[in-house]
Amino acid sequence: MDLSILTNAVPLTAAICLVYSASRFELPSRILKSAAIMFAKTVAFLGLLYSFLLYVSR
Amino acid sequence: MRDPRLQLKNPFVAAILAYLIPGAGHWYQGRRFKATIYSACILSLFIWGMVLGSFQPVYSALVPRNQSQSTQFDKTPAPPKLSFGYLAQVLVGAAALPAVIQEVRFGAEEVDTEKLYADINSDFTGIVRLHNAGSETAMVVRGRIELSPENPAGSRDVTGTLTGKTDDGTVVEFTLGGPIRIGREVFGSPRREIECGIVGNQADSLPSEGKLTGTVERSFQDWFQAPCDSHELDRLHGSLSRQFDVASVFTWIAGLLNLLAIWDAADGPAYGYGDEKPEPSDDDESPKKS
Repeated sequence: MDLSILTNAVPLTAAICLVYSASRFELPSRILKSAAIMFAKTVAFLGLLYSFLLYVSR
Repeated sequence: MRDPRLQLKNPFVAAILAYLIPGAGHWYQGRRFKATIYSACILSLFIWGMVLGSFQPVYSALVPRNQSQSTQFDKTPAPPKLSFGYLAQVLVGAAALPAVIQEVRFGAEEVDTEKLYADINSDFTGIVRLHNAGSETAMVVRGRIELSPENPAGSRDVTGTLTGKTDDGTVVEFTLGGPIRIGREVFGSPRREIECGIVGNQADSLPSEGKLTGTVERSFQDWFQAPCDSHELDRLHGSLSRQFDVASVFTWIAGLLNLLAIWDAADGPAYGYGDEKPEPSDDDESPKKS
């Protein structure tokens, strides 16, 4: 399985989280905190989903 | 109510600047931290998408293919159809606007595929077919082609040479001549299709007459973000596979994210400054029961 395509997903997720959080708040510390939480949740969700799909496709 | 600490200056100007260059509207408003975030994230996504997709994922229109001949040779192609992906890409601003200019150039071009107006000195990839007494020899040739119109002002007949190698490594050199067909100038492919005659060659073992069909370079300003057809998309998918789809998605998302940035420049952040105390919920206001 070609995993290299997935490596694009991490910076993409980080960029989306940062821009989304920046559009919600003005305070830099709040933007970064909100983006970090959103990034962690998104990566965890995608990781679980990917693991599940990998498991059922074996 | 907007936080008084937030100075949006002229929101309309800020929104226009934010559209043209992601982050520029916020820089104008003095919101440097957010300008840096928007600019770095959105432009990085867009540029990385372009790099992944060989700088071809952005095009405003798709030209329907004519079944009888290549779109590049088609003098009167059907009107291009809107590329829906471009509706997202165009939101990234100036970086995606050349596609509009290229679509106008594509529509305005007076296509003359049967005349050469300027010299060609380019790499060549294509097929050479040589004829001799009813038999045909075909070979793939990669090399360098030099062509000139017989009349410097432009003519149908051309002269030139093709030097290169066949797939099995044989060095070949052909003398070119006769009428030419050349693909339209503005088209969303870095390769321009070409056909012309062969009137001689240096190898005695091969027939000296035939025809070549292949592609030569198209200048960057003539293919970058220009309308293309499904044949070119098939070629891109063939060479880049899923990477081209990922590249397209990156450019779409970059545009959609800039919509958030434009909105922020025009109207401020959606949830507030970020240091407000949370409002008490209904449960907190209800009297406690003893």
